[in-house]
Formats: sequence, C-alpha cells, structure tokens
Amino acid sequence: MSTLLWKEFRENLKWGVVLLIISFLYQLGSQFISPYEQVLLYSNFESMLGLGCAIAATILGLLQTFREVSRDRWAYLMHRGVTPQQILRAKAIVGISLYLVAGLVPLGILCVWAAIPGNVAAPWHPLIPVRPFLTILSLAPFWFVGVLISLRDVRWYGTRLMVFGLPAVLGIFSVALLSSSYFIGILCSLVPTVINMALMLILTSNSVERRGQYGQLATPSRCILALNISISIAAAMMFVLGLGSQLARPYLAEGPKVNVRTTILEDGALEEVTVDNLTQKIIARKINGQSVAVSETHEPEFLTWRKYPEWIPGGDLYGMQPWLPAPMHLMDQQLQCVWHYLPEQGVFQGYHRQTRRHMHTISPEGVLPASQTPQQRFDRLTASTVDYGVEIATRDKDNKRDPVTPPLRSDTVYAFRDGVFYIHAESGEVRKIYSAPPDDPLTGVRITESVPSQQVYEYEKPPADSPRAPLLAEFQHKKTVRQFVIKAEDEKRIASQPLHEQLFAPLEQQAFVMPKGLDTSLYSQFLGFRKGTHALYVFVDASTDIAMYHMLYAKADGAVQRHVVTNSLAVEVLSGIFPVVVPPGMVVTALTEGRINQIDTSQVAAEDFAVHPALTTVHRLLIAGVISALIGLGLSVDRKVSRNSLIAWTLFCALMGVSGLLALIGLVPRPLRVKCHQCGKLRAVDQPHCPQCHAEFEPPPQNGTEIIIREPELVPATVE
Amino acid sequence: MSDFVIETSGLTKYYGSKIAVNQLDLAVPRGGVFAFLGRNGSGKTTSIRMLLGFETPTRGSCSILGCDSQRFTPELRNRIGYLTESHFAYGWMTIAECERFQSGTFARWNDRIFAAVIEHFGLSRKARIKDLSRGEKAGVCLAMTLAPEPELLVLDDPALGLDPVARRALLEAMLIVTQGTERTIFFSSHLLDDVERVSDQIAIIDRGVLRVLCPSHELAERTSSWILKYAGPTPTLPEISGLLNVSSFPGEIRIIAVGAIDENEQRLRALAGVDVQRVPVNLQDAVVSYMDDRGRRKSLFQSIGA
Repeated sequence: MSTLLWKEFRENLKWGVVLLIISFLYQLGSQFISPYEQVLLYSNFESMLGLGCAIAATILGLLQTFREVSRDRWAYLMHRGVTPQQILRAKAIVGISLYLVAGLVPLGILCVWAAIPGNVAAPWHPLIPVRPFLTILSLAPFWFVGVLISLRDVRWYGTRLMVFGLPAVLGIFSVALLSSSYFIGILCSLVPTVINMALMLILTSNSVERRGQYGQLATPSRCILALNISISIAAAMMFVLGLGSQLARPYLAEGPKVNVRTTILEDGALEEVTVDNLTQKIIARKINGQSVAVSETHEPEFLTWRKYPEWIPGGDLYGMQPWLPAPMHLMDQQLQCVWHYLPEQGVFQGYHRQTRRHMHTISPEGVLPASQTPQQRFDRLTASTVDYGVEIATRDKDNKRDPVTPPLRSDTVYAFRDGVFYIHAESGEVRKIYSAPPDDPLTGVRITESVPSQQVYEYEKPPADSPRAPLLAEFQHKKTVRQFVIKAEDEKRIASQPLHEQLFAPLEQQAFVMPKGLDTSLYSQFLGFRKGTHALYVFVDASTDIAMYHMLYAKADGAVQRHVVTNSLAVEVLSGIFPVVVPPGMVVTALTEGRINQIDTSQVAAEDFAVHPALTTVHRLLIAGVISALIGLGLSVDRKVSRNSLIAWTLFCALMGVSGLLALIGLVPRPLRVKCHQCGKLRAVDQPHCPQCHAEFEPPPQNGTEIIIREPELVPATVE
Repeated sequence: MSDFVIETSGLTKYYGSKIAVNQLDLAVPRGGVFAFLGRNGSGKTTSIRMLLGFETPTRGSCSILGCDSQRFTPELRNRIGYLTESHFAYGWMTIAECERFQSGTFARWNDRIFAAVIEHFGLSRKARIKDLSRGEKAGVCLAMTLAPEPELLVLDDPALGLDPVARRALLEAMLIVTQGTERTIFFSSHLLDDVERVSDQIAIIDRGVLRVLCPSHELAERTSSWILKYAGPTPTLPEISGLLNVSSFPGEIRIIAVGAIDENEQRLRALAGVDVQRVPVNLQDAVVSYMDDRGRRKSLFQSIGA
C-alpha cells in the first residue's frame, strides 16, 4: 500500500500544486478585492467556491485515472500482486488529500488574515469559516466522478459525463442543510456527505474491478450507477428544457400575448399598463379606469421592480446566525465607516474604510465610540428591502455618488421586530419612528420610492425642479400589513428636522387585513396587489419540499373568494411536460427560479385566475409513471434481462420517467443475436444454448488445413 | 497440480457484430515455450487479454493455473508475468523507481534477476524511462516481468519494434531465465525465426479461429511446397487437399499445402507439360502460408496485370 501511495503522490503532486495556487488566488483574491466585508459570508463566494470545488475534484480524479485506462497501461497497473480496490484506495487517499489541501489551506490562511484587526473592515467570528469548510468537504465525492468518467466503457464522451447527478444532488443537499441552526445544520450536512462518499466509493471500487462494464458490476453498484445516470440525464434535460422554454417563451402561442400590470401611483391612483410580451412595449395605459396617452419614453415597469425598485442587501439575513455579522449599507460620508449589523449583539458596528478598524457602534442610544459598551440593543432585524433606485438616482453620469445626500432616504430606515428606527450615522441621530403593537411584531418592511412612470432615473441625477418622490412604506406584521406614504415636500426642512411620526399618513385605506385562517409567518414571501375593490395576495409557502404558490383573491375586508395553489406560475404549456420528462420527485420547473417579485402579474390577474388545469400535477405524475413503466418493461424484455432485473427496471422507469428509460437504454445493450444453425431462429450470442432448440453453437467452419494435435495424456486443470 | 497452465473452452469474443475470437479451445502444457501466432487483427491480443482477465468473454471460459480468468486474485497475479507489446512503464519514473514500484507490489522479487537483465541491456538505474530508446525500455519491462520469478510468462509480441540487437538480447534474456525451470512462456510474435528458434509448441489463429495447434516441428513436417514450371498457357490446377497458398508468376506456379503430401504430388505430376519440383518448407514459410489470404486475393503480379 505504501508503494501505491508513493506512486500516486509522486505522479500527481504537480496537479495538487496547480489546484492549490488557483484556490489560493480565488479565495484570498476575493477577500483582497473586497476589504469591507467578510467574503466568506457571501453566497456568491460560496457558490463559486462550490462550483470550483466540484470541478477541481472531478478534474483531479480524471487526471489520476484517464491516462491509465488505455489498454496496456491499465494492464500494467492492474496486473500485480495487489487488489484493484487497493489501487483505487491509494488513488483516492492521495487525490482527495490533495483536493482538501488545495481547498482548506488557503481557507485557513484567509481566516487567519481576516481575523487580524485592521485587515478587513468587518467583524470576525470563528464560526464564519464553517460553511466554506463544509462546502469543500461535501464536494470531495466529486473526485470519484472523475474516476468514473475515465472508467466508463461507453463509446461517446457525452455519455461518459452522465455520472455527476447523484453526487451533485447529495452535495447540494448537504450544503443546503447548513441552515440557520448551525450545530444541527452541521450534523445534518455531514450525513449526506457521508452517504455521498460511501455510495461513490462502492460504485467506483466495483467499477475499477470490472473496468466500468455495467453488466459485470455487483447489484448494489448497478443500482447506484443507474440512479446516478438517471439523475444526471434528468438534470441535463431540465437545463435544456428550461433554457429552451425561456428562449421560446415569447413565441409560445398558448402563452399570454400581453401583460396587464397594476401600479399604485404616488397620489394613490391605480395605474394599469398593458405591455406586449414579445416587444415589451406599452400598448395601453389607464389611470383609475380611464384611458390615457402612452408616452414614447414610458418604460414598462413591474409593480415591484423599477417602479418600486428593490435592493437586496449583500448578505442573506435569514441565513445568518445571531452571532454573525451582516453588512448594512448605512449612508455615511462623515465618519468614513463601513457598517455591519451584528444580530447577536443587536448593534451596528462601523469599521473605518482606511484603517479597517472598529471605530463606532450604533445602538438605540445613538452613535457611540467603539470603546464604549452600549447599554441598549436593537431587537431582531427583520427582512427589509430598501430602495436601490434612490441610490441610483443620486448618482451622476459618471456613476459617482452625490455628496449632498438628503437625510430622508429609504436606506436610513431600519425595521426591527418591535418597530422602525431612523438611523443616520453622519448626524448621529438614532430615533424610533414607529412602534409595532406588542402582540403584532413586525415581520418585514418594504420601503421603496414611488417613482412616477415617466421618470426613471438611472445613472442620472433627477432634474432640480422635479418633485421629490415620496416613499412607500409597507410594514408587514405577523397579522396585518400596513402601508404608508412618506411624503417629503421640503427637502431642506426634512434635512434639518428630526423625523416625526406625524409624517406617516395612511394612503386611503391601505391596511390589508390578512385573510382569515392564514398565518403569514409560515410564508417566506408576500405580495399584495390591489385591483378595484379586490385585492390579490400571493404567498410562497417554502415550508414544503416544493415551493407552492398560494393565490388568494379577496375583498378589501379580507373575505377570500378564491384560493388557488399551484407549483408554477410560469407559462403552463410546458409544465405539463415536466412530470413526464423528469422524475416525479423533481417537479419544480426551471422556469420558476428566481424571486417571486419578478413574476409577471398578468399570470395572476383576476380574469386569468381560473388556473385550474384539467389534470393536476398528481394526475400527470401517475400517468407518466404508468407509461414509463410499460415502456421500461418492453425494453427490459427485449434486452433479455433476468427476472429480478426486469422487475427492478420496470419499477425504476415508473419512478424516474424518461430519464430512467434513457438510463436503461444506455446501460443495458440489446444482446447481439444470430440465426441458430439448427432451428433458424434468432439466439443471443452470449448464451451457449439456443433457447428454442437448445442446440450449441456450430463449430467454426473448417477449411481442410487444420492441424490440431492435443495431448490427451496430460491432466486437465480443475477451474477454481 | 495440473499439467496445463492455460486452458480455454469455447472462448468467444464479439466486438459489436464482429467476432474477434471464435470458440477458441486451447490447452498450453506446463513448461516449455508456446508460440501463439497470427496476423494483425486475428485475435491474438484479444485472446491474451481475456486470458489475463482484462477483457470479458462473450461466451466460453478460460483459466490460468487452474483459476478462472475473471476471478484472479493478487496471489495468482504474483505467479504470472505479463509483458505487453507497448512495453509500457511510467515515463516519469527512473529505472530504480520502476524497481521500487514493482518490488513493492509483487510478493516475490529477485533483485539479482532484475540487475542482470538491466546490465544485459547496458542500462543505468538512474536513467528515466522517457529518455530510453524503445529497445532499452523493452529491456526494463522484461526485467520487471522476470524479477518476480513468475511461473508463467505471457509475452504479447515482446520484440515488436526492436532492432535486431535488442531483439537478440531480449530473446537471450528470456531463455536464460527460464532455462532449467518449470516455467512456461506463452508468447506471441511476428518474428518467425525467433519462434522457430525457441518454441516447443505452436498455435496459429486466423480470423479468430484456431487453425494450428501442434509441436513446432510438426507444422513444417506436414507442410509441403511445390514449384510448377511450364511453357505456354497456364495449366489448370487439380484439386489440392489442404491447399494453403497458390502464387502465380510468369511461367511458374508455387503451391503450398498441408497434409496429403503424396496424394497432392501425384495429382500435380499428372499435369501435362508441367515440371513439378517439391521444395523444402521451413517453419516461417509454413506459418506465413497459414496467415496468408489463401487465394482470397490476387498476387501482386495478377493485380498489376503482369
């Protein structure tokens, strides 16, 4: 074993060094170019790290094996006094070790560097590296993917790649389980990692012994390989279908040709804009039901996008633990600090941009120096979205920030469970401007700038005489939703006076009462649309395995008139195909990826609300399963598989759909058949006797030149 | 202990619809040198790879030293030496590292044999494999194959691509090591004078079918050759039993056949106006005749219309 380890290490050390350099450059480079935040916290960094780890591990496995699978090389390697499993074990130990070193050493160096005060303008916590560490660890099984790609005895390289599905699913699952509950999350995350590693080791070990030939594998390995290939095919099909449907979407005849988007203007008027789906041009506009002219410069806006533009904080607040910091973009030119919110301490910490050291703390008491311990703390920060459009509107043509920033900006308002605070770091003002009822805590706040549709400012300063756009504040409580318009007529007056609650004026009667019986705390997303005397609520229930969209059409008093639940708000024409072409367990369509805010509201307009497909998803799944099972049964019979394999493949195809059928076709070839010399019927060449007449194969034809002299006196061997 | 080291029964291999090996029944006795011959693409290497468990037979069975080829254990592989035709070794290794790798993964290792073969080829242990010539690499590979002292040596065209000097060295090394032992050498080769010199038994495979399996001397003894000289039109040949090859030249026909020597000679001498001469056949001529196309294609002279 030590000889094998030595050989693998000597041969592949150079690849490990290359990976180490690339990993070093990425991890430390990402931090160097982002000195104001801990990049290890960011989903973008983690996503790229995960992708890079999967690719790196696969490439390493490939490099260690691909060059050795040619005929004589493989024979040279395998023909020796060690088992194939020992050879694989040596490769795996060295390969995975090199992968882990390449991933974890730069991570360790980065953590040490980031933890030193003055290097990063952000707080540090020892648990920050846990997610990246587990990401690297959970994707190590991809090393086996590289080995399997090399070993697979198939003709086309495209089919060789179809072994990534199972490790990808388990890898993503293990990373996804790193939830807000860290300790439980870590344990939960390790379980799929261990399962992943075990399954891939079993499959690869058997494949090395049998040179990747499916028919020669043991039953457990065959099951794992079939599942792996089927999931890979399903993933590839979903990608292609999703991409294709996105490209084809404007041209689909059954989809809506136009969208009608409703908007609440700053004066409370209801604007309805009809947009051509294909050209995205506005073709009609109504305000309070009256048709108005369409301006050439009028840009179509989604209700909650651009019109009420949204800015998403860089960090995932809900994913953070109480002791982890989250960056908050407090406007601060005076103190020159980068601000971060620490949920555990319930304070904001400001780090100086140049020195990158902790200089100030913001608590409900105000802006304090770092040396002073705050006596009060903020309650838990809710999900709040603040207006990116405002920030954009304050930039000039060169995209530079306007130094004279009016204090009343939507990103100076922060919502906590117990209320809303106005926080302005430069002036040092910290003031509670709204208190939530004790029995109805805040669950979210959306504060946006209601930009009139004719005035979309992007990278331009608004004209000096243009009216200041009011802020639309929507306070989402556990039981109620309250909307307010914050009007600021005199910019200078607001700048010099503290904000008072009298400035909050209700817009008509915009307090939507939640429909009876619904607990909004279960739902991760909420949208409310007003149309005439009715309102449309859209919830995303993310508590189930498959995100379900609830659409409730209700009167203003909350009486629900219609309730529809669907798994897709995308164009329905393709959703009927998905249960057939993808495994029943993977019904979520690629089209519904993304935030609900970007969903075309025409899909949920009242008139189109009758989304009652003739067949529900469950019906479609059952029909698809039966069809797939029948086809699978026919294919298995044609391929002359054993009885047990016939049953297994039939069930597999019923469960996995088209991807299962393709796996069957790819893995189990049709046996070659020739005509029996005795009965004339077709018989498989791998069976010694004809199934019809039981005749053996005819000996090769003799041509009269044979010289066969055997030595009958010698003792034949007994085969062990 | 069995007297056969290699046995196959109905060994068959298909690649797609093409049959590469067709019901091969072979039995190689212990001790001695067994030559396994055939043209390129005749199925030799496929047969050898099936014997060593690197290919799965479509049908039939094969065993080495009494063990099914599909179930080899490391202990059995320790007893078999295998040299591929490509003489593969890791290019990044030095000869010393090759020795380390081989000795660390085989149960037995005779350093004297390894050193002797390396010295025979005039090599230094510090030399890197990728810097060696083809013949030198062949020497290293032979040393790695012989040093574990295997009971059975399977050599797939070991002298392929070697110059005459390297070939001679290889052959000598093979013979020296196996001399006076119960070792068996099973090798394939295209170099028929080497085969003639060293082999005890011979097998010829033609298009996947075993045509010859006999002691080496038997093949030459049972093969006969005649030269027919004539003037005037080309005579019509009678039916020749065991016909292997007919070559036509201007005024001359050469015939090689196996078996039925007297009967064939009688028929040929019955031809009018033809001078029939019987000429001796060596092993090389006999083997080439077996591996030729048996009249399935024209001679070069016929093709160019001479």
